[in-house]
Amino acid sequence: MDIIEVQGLWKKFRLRQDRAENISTLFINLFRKLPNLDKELWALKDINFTVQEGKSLGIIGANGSGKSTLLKILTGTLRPTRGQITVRGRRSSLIELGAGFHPDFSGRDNVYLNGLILGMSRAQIKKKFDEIVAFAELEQFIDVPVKYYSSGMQARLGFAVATAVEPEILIVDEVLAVGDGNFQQKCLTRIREMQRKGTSILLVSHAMKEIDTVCDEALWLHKGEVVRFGKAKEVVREYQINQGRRCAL
Amino acid sequence: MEKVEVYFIEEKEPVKHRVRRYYDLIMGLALRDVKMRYQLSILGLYWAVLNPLLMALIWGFVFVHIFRAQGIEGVPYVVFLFCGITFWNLFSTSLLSAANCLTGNASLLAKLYFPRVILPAASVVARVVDFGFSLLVLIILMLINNVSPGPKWWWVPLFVVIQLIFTLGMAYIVAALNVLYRDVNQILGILLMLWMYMSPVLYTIEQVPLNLRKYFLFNPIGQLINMESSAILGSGQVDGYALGITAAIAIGIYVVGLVIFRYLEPAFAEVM
Repeated sequence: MDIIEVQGLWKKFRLRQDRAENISTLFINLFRKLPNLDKELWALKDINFTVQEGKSLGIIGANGSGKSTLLKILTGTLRPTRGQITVRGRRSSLIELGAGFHPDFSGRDNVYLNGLILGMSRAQIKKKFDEIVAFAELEQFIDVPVKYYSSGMQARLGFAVATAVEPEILIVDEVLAVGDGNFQQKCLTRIREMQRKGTSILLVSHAMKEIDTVCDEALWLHKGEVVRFGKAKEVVREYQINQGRRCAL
Repeated sequence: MEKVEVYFIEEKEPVKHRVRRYYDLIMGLALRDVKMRYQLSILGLYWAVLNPLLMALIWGFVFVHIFRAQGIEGVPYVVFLFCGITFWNLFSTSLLSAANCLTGNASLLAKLYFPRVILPAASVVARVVDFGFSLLVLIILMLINNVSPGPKWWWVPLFVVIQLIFTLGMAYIVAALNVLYRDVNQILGILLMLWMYMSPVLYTIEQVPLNLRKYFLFNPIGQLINMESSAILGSGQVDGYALGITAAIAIGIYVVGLVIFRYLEPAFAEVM
């Protein structure tokens, strides 16, 4: 069965020159007809793909190609302008380092709050708490405010909480790049473990090696359009050849 | 043409479990809110008691010794005033913090999905904690001044529930509008001040000239404060007609607030 189905997905952003339509422009507009300064940007144009149960998808492309927009739509924070999306299963997302962490609060408080936001109940978090802390290797620092954590420590804690949800779909946006090699290895091991249990991973990354090792399929986006969709190995290879050509020019 | 279909299908979760989760989340966010306000201060949670107490002292001095105001008969004005302020603050501080609950959590909204209606609810719940402390101070004031509670004080929980329904509805409206127009936050303080003077907080409803009094029926928060004060400190005659209208408005506002909030919800992540 397909765990994610995306058909004819379009997303438009309005680039407003002056975000708040303030009183004075409103007033001026009464007297003369100003051209509408709002520009439209199609961040995603006619995206189609499916992901099968248990398979993982990598999304690659240059900056501004629409990768993060696509992830946000799949997470549910953005609504598409047009198109059909069906996502089956419990989602957990790790979209930005420490999203949902409050700097003044201790690691402990933040684990609870972040877990609640990601859809766990207090009792579930309590049960998993030790495991989360152990994975993040923060036993000594768990009662220290998060603002004193290094970015690596924050990344570890964030990853530990997001994976503790035991989602059917884990959405990861380039957060693995933060930690050191050791941590990245640990995350990859955890991801593999989850994949073995049937979790699908949606991974946005510029590290082609990561995409290659984690994902079965890859989606290559460029300026909001799909360039290639297929086996991760092949798409990654083509992407790299393409990048290389651009660098050579 | 502009056809949008978004389905997030999750394994059937028992309703009880889901309610539990949302309840935990509201409480977690409310607790964070309360903690955040007191965390970096030396007196910490004592402020929740000290603040209303100091306010009562200042207002009491001005209104008792300078304006020579009168509240409910046989009750020291300070106690009457403090009672009114306690219930008024539950409403006004809830709205003030609800106005910022979405804009203040912009990074959360853009990155993680959870039902947005939870955020305004959590900021109202956080203010209920302050309200509890304020109530404690009220009881202390009543003990010091030898004021015994009115015979109908047990109506108060019902009034508070109606007040919370009304407050929540208003909180949804204010929170959603403030995302689109930050002007809401600016004007809210002034509007609330106006609203307070139009409500029987500093005076009793009996002191209002008769020709104006009929308009007070359409101010649910004023009606509620009047009923609450009179139930706690006075005879507490419950006016069924006024209570009915107030409850109807409260439920109406709640529904309208929820509809507005849901309607504007898709825009939240986009404009922030």
